[in-house]
Amino acid sequence: MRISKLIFIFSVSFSVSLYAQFTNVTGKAFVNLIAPLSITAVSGDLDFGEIILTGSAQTKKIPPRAGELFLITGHPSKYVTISFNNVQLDNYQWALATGGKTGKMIFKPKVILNNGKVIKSGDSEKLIKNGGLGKLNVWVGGKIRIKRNQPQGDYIGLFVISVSY
Amino acid sequence: MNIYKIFLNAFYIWILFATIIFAQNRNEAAARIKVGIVQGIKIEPVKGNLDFGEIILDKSNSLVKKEPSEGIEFKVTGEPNKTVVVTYNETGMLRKDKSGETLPFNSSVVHTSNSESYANPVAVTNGTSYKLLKNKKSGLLYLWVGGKLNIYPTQSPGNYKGLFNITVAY
Repeated sequence: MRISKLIFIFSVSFSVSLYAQFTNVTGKAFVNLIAPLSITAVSGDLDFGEIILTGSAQTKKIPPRAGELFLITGHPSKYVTISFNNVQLDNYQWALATGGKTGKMIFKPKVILNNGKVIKSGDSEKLIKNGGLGKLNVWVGGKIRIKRNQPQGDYIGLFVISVSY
Repeated sequence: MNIYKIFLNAFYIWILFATIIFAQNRNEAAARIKVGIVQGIKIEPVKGNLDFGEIILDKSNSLVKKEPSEGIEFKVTGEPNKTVVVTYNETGMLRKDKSGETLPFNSSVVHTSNSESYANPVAVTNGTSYKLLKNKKSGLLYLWVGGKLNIYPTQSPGNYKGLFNITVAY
């Protein structure tokens, strides 16, 4: 009685495909185990330091190799999609603490691989086989534009990079 | 036996589905971005000068002094509470028109913090850092410059001029 209940449950769960399997039962199945995907910050930072207002607009850059290094680890030779966005930085915390004027600015990331290839958000890249895993080094730098009359203060923001199979 | 096979196949299929589901893997990492924007620095004269006026030669070695309070006052404006390095010519030469004859000048620099008036002056050492104290939305430092002239008995009469430089930097 219990067995027949279980059969019924499995039949419902895997209806069409299971039904087809029933006609050709061999006891074999194909399973492709994929190594889990991860991305971690390894070294470096995205700290632009102190910038002195000059009365003119200015652009400051952190070259990717002088920025932050991320390591993607996953299944060897599998393609991963790398995604990221521009980041809005603001000085709200600083302004709140000091009573200063609030301001915003945009951080535009520049992402490259070890070989110097520039990555755009949404690009797919192959994980390079390294031991039993697939790995990829991703370097992140970027630029900010400071307006002529940019309010002073400490600007912060969070750059998020995601990877998926 | 058939029931066993059905179970086995159901299990394999479940594993296959599960594996496919788990294979849709996603992960993310983040980095904090930091930028410090600081107010530019400037130095400008407020009042006074380093004009020693007319000095009558008396054929002896004489020292003519001008106290910083009687000299020239500069205002330094920048980021509140940030320090600035003050550098200046400790010594210099005034030169006589046409002949180029020299007259040694020794500067004397003090600061009065963020006070525009000459109160509690503190000597400024060349190449040393001083804090810009907050005054409303700016950081301020007032510098006062005086000095002395060494006039030799053989000094010839005439107009002597020179340039005194003072620099501030974060």
